[in-house]
Amino acid sequence: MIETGIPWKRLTLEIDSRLEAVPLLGQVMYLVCTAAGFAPVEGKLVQVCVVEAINNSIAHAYQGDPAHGVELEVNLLPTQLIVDVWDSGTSGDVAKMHADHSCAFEVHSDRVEDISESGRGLAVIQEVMDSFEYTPGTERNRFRMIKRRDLPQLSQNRNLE
Amino acid sequence: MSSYPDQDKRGSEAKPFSWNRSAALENVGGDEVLLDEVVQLFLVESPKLVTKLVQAVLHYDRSMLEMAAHSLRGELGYLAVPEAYEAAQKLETAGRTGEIEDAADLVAGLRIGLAGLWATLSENAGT
Repeated sequence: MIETGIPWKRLTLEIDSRLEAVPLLGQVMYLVCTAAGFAPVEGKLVQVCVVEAINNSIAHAYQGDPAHGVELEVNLLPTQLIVDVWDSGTSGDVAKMHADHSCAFEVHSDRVEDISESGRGLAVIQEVMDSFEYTPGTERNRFRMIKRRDLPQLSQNRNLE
Repeated sequence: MSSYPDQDKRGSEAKPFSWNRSAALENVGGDEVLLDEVVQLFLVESPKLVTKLVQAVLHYDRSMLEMAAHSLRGELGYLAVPEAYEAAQKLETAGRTGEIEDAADLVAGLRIGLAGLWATLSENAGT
């Protein structure tokens, strides 16, 4: 049995769709990660991914309009951390979302609009998380990120520090 | 033992960076066209550099961290965003000294700060 010391398995938080509100959720995400057994560096990188995903919702689904809500849902499973970012704005292009974004490390284009999707977040998420999935809906859109929890190995690494 | 193993590093006190356009314009000698070019270049290059910073932290690649932070600092030099410039400078140092955990914290804070800056610069681009 994996002992996490966490008395919950599911956490939901909602913010207004304002960039100023995003850091708080990022900080919560970092706390959740460290409490769930992730190393601090991993926690920080997951925090960056969550910030990227929420920023994408605000920028693309709501076009920066602050009069909406973005929900963060975290599900902690024995071997996985599942993070869902929900918005009720304009749906994104699934094909673009699920494309290979590794080219963002070596973008040759010099046009801002060409890297608006890959350069501003999805490449980071693709690099840090084990998987992600975008599901547009008629009422709400879901951006799901999954990070594997390899607790025995993490504990072993901590002992070496 | 605490359930929260890293209380002192629970997250950056990060907030979106603000842009002083007048100071930036002064930095480029009052040349509006040049400032617009600098802004466009920053909007194209900085997201790539942030991605590289994340990649460097993830793979404990000190030289990539130092190089990406150095490049970002260079681009921030003209834009009059002192908080971002300082963060990039600290990241460059972290890359040099190998303080990856500090770097992860700085990258997270930098990313949050840049969100507001990118939005502001995008709105001002070409004006």
